[in-house]
Amino acid sequence: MIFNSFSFIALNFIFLLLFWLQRKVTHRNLVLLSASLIFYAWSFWPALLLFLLMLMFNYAAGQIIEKQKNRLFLFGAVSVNLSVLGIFKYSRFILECLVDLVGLFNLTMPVPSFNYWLPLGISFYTFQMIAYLVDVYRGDVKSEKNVITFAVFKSFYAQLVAGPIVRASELLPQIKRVNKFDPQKFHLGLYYLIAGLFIKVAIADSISHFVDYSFENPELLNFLNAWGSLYGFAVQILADFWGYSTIAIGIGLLYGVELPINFKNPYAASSIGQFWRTWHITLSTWLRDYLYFPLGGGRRHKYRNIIITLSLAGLWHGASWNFIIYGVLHGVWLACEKKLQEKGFSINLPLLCKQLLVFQGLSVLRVFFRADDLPTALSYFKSLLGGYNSGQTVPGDLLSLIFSFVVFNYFFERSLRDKSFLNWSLVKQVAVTTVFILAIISFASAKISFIYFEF
Amino acid sequence: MIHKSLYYRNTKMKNLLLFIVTLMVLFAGAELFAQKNFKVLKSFSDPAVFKLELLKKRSGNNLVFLGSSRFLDAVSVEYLNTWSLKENELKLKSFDASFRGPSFDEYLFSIKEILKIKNTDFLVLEWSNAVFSDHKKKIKEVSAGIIKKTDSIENSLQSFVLSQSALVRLRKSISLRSLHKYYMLKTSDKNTHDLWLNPRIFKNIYTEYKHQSKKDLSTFKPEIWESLSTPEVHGQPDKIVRLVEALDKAKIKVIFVRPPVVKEKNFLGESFSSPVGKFPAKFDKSVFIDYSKVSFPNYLMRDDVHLSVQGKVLFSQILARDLALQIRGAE
Repeated sequence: MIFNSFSFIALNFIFLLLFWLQRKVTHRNLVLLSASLIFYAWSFWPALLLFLLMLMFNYAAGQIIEKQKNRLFLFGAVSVNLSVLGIFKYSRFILECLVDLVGLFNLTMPVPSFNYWLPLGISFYTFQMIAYLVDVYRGDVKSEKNVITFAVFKSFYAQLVAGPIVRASELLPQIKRVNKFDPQKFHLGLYYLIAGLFIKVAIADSISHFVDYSFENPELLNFLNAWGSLYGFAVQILADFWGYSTIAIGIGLLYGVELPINFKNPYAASSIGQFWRTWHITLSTWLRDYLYFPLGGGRRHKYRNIIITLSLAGLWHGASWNFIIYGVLHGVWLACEKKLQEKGFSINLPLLCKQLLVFQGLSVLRVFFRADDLPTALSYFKSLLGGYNSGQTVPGDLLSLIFSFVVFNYFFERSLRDKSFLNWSLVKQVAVTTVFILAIISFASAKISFIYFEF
Repeated sequence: MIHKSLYYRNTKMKNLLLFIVTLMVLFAGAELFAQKNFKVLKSFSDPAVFKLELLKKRSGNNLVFLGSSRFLDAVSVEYLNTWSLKENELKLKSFDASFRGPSFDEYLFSIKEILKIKNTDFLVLEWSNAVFSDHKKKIKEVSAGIIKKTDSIENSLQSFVLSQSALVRLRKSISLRSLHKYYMLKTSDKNTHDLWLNPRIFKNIYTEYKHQSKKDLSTFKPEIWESLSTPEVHGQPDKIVRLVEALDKAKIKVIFVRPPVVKEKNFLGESFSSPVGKFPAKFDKSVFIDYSKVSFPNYLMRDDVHLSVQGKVLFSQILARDLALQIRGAE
């Protein structure tokens, strides 16, 4: 079930009411669990069976790992999680690569044909489960004995399918205690929910029409159109994901639960390192703590570790060569930046110039992220270089949307990661929220999913 | 301490309740406003219907134009009024109800609506392939659903919300531009808002208003039919019949104008040589002014069927001259 639908809004407030009518934490968690499972099963119920299996497996694995403190058990449990992810997400890609490889030797390979389906949010909840197991092994958190509490921790619908990737140490304590109804959190939660829907519906979904057309038909784009659409995609992907994360945080607050912030104005980054510290923060920190550090971190083979980590980050986003190239290029960029910093080399440019350069680099790399395949990506690069002659002008609506996002970001970005909204006057709160709600009503058209739902 | 904490909790609760209640009251008010002014607000999202609403707000005797983009790009009512007074000593109050890409049904709908409005004395209708075509059908009465149909619970909820909320049904009218449109409605009697109603505003910067001197218009002479031999146009005869039925009871003078054209667009895929419908013998209310065979220099046309900005300025002068004859004759 997607957030920008009537079903979700209706269900959300029904369960919210039921939740706050309960006094005991067990009853509240049961309500939350029911809501989460219904939300997850709404789109495709067989995916729920897989999720429940993974949930029970990791619940048991956590207990065993805590008792045995055996690295082998940890390795086994993590492997099972990764294998499930691999089967559902990467098997088709691996098979296609094998077919291509075998084809190089003029041989053919029989490929079993079956319907591939990607369970909703499998990348997110797999990472969350792995983080839990490792944290238990390291002793950072105790394994959860109460199966309901554990199930709520894993399945909380606000963040289940597209993050933020929440650690056990962040969420479990909040679920286990009886939270009194906090009017401030509820107040802030409402604002986050509405603002998040605005970013998602009014900006991301509206821009997607232009971007989809451009990436489906790169040969119809002239130079200006190609760059306009690329910047449009840069805005779209941030608005889509930031909007979703904001909605998730808002929903959490409505239940009295604080979820971690996932974005901190990433396009204001003046270096690629800063970008990764401000973009999809929960994924970046996950990669740092559970991949980069175990590989050796900065202590040994630092640059290799950076490249491997970001390459795998690229692969996590999607099963195709596009995403691998995307990740590798990011890894190389970050490694080069770190190397230059250590050598004491720095570019003396105004902050705005650095920010624009980083943004430009990110936008160019996003061609690989957005294009369906390599040939499309290459065709798009051709249009970026003015390789096609089309008479179409850049749509005014696209420019308006990009401009609107820049203005929104300038004025409201901070209010979506701190509590400054609560300090606004009532008039300002109502005025801003009203504008957001009117924009949501006005722009709500086609039901377009979240980009990150596909991961 | 407990007292302080209770105080803070009560204050926070008060702020939350105030916020929620204020929003609810605001949207309830907006909903009531939307229900009361539904028809007018709905017109904000439809250029053709919006122009009809503007026309309704105008008082006095109006000369109303109705056509497609060919008329929009050919006629400036501001310029027409100015030149009518300056050159022909005729005070006109003109209004352009034309809109881009009409289907015949929309054209006919607008004609019927204009005829209901009592402040119109002269109706200038475009007579061209464009208005008699079916290349774009829109049905004004149907409101589109908000979200594409997927599962049935979602459909039911959508239908419920749509049926209950005028504000949601008016979603296409919610924009910053709506504020300006509301202002245009309020000032429609005194102002044609000519520049704003044509979407291609930047192409119509009327710098030539200031510099235009009286041109020799004698070379631009149209063909005028006051008899029943109407000019040919590609349109099914049944459409002519429907048009005649709509105009038959009109008490106002109807003038058909065929705008300048380099090469006629054929929307129906028929050959140009096919004769088409003509008005029936008993219909004698209208006059036809045909500019299609008038030779316009290239710089006055921006494509085969649309005038450029300079063309619009000049054609408005020409039309002011020719319409003055018809209007004086009618008086």
